[in-house]
Amino acid sequence: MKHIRIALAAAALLAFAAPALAAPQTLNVKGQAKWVSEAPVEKIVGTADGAGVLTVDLADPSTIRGTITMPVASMKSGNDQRDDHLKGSDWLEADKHPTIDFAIGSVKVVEGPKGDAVKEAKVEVTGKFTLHGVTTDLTAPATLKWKGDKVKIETAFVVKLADYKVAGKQGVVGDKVGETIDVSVVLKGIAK
Amino acid sequence: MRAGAAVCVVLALGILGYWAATGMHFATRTTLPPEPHLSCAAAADCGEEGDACEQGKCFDAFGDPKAGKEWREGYELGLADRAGPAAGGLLLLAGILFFVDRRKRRAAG
Repeated sequence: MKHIRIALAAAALLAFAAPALAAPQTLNVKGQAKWVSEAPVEKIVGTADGAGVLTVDLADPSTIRGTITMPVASMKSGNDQRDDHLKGSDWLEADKHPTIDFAIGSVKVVEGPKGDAVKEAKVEVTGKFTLHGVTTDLTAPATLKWKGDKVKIETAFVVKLADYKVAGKQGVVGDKVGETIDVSVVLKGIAK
Repeated sequence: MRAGAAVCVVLALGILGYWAATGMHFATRTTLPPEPHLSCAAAADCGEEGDACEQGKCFDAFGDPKAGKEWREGYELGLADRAGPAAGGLLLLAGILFFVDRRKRRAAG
């Protein structure tokens, strides 16, 4: 009789605990984006800070949602004058459009999750990317890794400046600044 | 005056030589990008809990090479904003000095 009671209690506990375990967790992520402009005259390498509040059920990586934000003011390229121009009226107009945002709309799991201590899933993230006040649909491959409650997200995509009405000074884009910018982002956080 | 002009030419060539020797960059960088693979002496140098330091390089809690986040101190001379104007100015000054010197010599002789 005692064993039956224990078994019933354990079953009840699991019944309550299972939905709680599967519930989406909040994931505050922080990291850095690296951006590269390759043009015939010059290659420019820069960084920007990135952060966001996401929700995810790690048992199902396709549940990731949330928005990742990069302040334009955090963009650096190693040259103060160029950084000022980058944030100025000819380029990203940081005063009018202070952030670059990516709002995750849907996630498709392409591979995984696999691994033991470190779980890894390859996903395809589709969402709304906003740069210079212009929002477009963007799909990017990403890798999601987690170990316990530690989570890491890596992604890379290409931004075509003309799509976001970033014209720059006449004759500069395509000559000193690439028409497209390669962006790679690494974000880390702890799921709670 | 000729000696001054010669000094200007030598300085201009020196600037262009330094620019060529340091990578021929178009624009000057006063800080250098973060290390692609962060160096360390101990795990504590890597910055985050769970990071490891192996053979002088940082690896994150997931076992991946860890890149630095901070821009490093350093300087790369650029042609467009520093080396070019400086060398051009010196060569212009040298030209003016040579010209004035020649006129003076002609007037004297």
